[in-house]
Amino acid sequence: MEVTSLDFAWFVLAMLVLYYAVPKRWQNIILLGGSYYFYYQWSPSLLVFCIVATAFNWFYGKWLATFARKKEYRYRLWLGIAANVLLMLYPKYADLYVDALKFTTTQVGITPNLAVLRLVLFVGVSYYMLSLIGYLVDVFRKQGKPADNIVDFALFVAYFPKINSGPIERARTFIPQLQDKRQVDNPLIARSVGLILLGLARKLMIADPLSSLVPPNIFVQPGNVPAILLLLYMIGFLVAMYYEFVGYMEIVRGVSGLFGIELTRNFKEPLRGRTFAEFWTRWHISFSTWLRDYIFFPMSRNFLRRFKNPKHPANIVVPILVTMTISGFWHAVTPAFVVWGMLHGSTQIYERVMQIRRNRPPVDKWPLWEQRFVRFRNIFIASIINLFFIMPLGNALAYLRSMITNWGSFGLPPLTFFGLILAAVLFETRATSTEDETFFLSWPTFAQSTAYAVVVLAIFLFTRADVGEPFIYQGF
Amino acid sequence: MQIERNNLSLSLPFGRPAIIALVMLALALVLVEVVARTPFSRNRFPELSIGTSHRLFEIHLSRLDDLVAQEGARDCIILGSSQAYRGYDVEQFQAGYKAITGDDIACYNFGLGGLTPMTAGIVGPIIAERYQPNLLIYSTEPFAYDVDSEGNDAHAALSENVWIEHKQGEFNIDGWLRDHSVAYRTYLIYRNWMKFTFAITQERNALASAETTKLGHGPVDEVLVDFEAPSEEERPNAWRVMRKFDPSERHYAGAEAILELNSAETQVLVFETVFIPTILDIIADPAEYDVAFNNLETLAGDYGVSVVRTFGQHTIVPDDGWFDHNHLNRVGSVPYSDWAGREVGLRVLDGTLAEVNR
Repeated sequence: MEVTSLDFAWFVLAMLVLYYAVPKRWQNIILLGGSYYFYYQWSPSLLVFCIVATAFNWFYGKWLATFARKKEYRYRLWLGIAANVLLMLYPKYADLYVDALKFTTTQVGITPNLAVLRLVLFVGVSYYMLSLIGYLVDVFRKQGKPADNIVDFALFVAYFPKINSGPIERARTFIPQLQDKRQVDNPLIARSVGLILLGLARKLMIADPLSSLVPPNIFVQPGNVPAILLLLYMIGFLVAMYYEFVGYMEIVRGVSGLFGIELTRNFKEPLRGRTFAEFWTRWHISFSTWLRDYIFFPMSRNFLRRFKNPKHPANIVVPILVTMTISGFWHAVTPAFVVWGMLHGSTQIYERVMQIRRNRPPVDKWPLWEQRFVRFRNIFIASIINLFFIMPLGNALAYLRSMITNWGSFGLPPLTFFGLILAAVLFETRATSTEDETFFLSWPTFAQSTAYAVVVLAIFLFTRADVGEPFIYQGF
Repeated sequence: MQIERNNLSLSLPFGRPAIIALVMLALALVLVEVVARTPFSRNRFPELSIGTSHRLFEIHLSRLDDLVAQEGARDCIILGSSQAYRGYDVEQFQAGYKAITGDDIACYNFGLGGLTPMTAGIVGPIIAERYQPNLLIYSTEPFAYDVDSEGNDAHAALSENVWIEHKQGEFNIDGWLRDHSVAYRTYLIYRNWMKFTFAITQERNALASAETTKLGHGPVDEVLVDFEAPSEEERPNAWRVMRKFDPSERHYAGAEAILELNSAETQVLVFETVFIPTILDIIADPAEYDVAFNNLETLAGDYGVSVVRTFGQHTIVPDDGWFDHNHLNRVGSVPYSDWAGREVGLRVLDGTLAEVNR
């Protein structure tokens, strides 16, 4: 079930009716049942796998909590982590995704790029596996208690709004929400519905159309495509990806809000990040904070113990490079993703080195023009690095090569491409001028109503826009 | 007023902006629909769309809807592939019928490029149900039933569409809207506005509209010069689908869906598509064609449907009347259509068919 589909809407509606119809003590069970049903729709075998992983970690966490946080017991934690990593990797190679692949392709009626689909589905499992690894670490470090209630724990793992693409929640903040009194009132409903509408608009009116305007063969055969086109499509695709991801997150957060459960905000105006370090505090926040807390910080502390000087090259280079490379690996174990991770690590290393060498103040103190220049420069660099995220290594290099050499010819995307980029920029500027995501809720009633009507109609028209090729008569 | 239910605490009234938005949207849509239905608006836009990628189908649908609204129901509709589209000059056909029976009939050429029997089995019943013609002429040929032509793009273009699904009985809101809303169908004309091929597509659509006459005929002016069988390099598609007769169950099922329509209300008559016999030279054993034709005739007979043989009638077409070996051009469509109309008239007179005109 796609979150933008009618099927998902009906599913959420049915869940809401059930959820509020039953006594409070049954609500988590209803949510768990619904979540399992939701996951079952993707693949029965993946559901079984999820249940096995849940059971394993629940028992293991309880056992781990009986040990003090001492070095001699740490191997038990590592065993648990290793088991989860193996559990994360196993389905990828055991083709447990076959059902899900067939389902996905049947739903959308396309011939799949199996490698891409495997990646997508693999990532779905990876999200809750990271949550489970974080759970074991928190339990061992005594930063979180082992879950008592297996239903709550299972719901923490399989909660349907977040199971496919996050956010990656922490047990110590998520499970208490399941146990506390959840109050759903007018402001929360208004905000949740507002988020859903916002997310739908981002995805259906900007991300999907923009993606469809990028010719698919351009990533496979950049060949003789004019460099200016390659450049524009590269940036456009980053914008599309961002809107896709943010839109998705807003929808699932809105849906979750209707049940009174708050999910972590995963994006905070990342394109306003003035440095790559700042970018990663704003982009995919749940994932980057997970990497920071469970890989970067422990590794940094370890290296600082060995190399006392914080400006020692080992301290500057190794933790961030390893962390970002692992980030690449987590997405997929392919050369392109390794390069992607290492490039992002390298940019942050470069910034840190420049800051040290030039003895620069924090970025907040820089002149405004320099902040803006660096911001746009970094967006451009991020677009380039993104090439390794969206295509195999060879294709990405060929794309870059063509972008450097194909300046002999000229071409432009259709006007709608620029229109959509402009709309994205304007919207982002307005949306990020305030901390309040649902800023429109403070508008006068008539303005709100008009905005809703326009957005709903626009979503309908955009989703009815055809991106297929017309039939060329074959004169049979 | 307060609604309290478990952890739900709702204060009424609630959702005023959303309710006002719904009302605004409803009013705006009604207004747009009213405007879209005015002659002022209709005259400014091309033929309405239902969202398929087969523009000719949409042109026919829209034109026929308008024709029926202005001039009344059609007595007969001709359904077939591009051979029908190019080959049936409807006015000549009507004249031929009148020459034999003395009666006027009103017909429409619903020939569709790339239409195979399996796809005809989808659109035929929809057309019959929508327009209730007294006579449905189905132009087909044994060449069309080969399994290799199942991969024809027209099938995907015409079958995978919510309106088609809706008309086949699978209710869906989108299909219902496309069936009832002129404003929505007007938008669908331009629905690929985001594609970089938008301008080219609109141009191509305009050409298709311009080359189709009021009664659905699509004449071409090119002339075939060499009557020898085409080489494989010249006509690879012909060699792929025409030189063998591996029967396709899907195609025969499609033909049966057309034949099943035969009734007192809508009579079905099958016309063999006319072609230059030299094309049989690409077949290893030309006798296979006759066998395949006989099979088709037998199948039609099971449903009480007659088949009009055109084999040999290519002689009524002048030498400059062919676009290619199995398509007539503007010149050739005149005598052929006249002959076809007369054939229908003769069958009315001898009682094979009931009267066609209303």
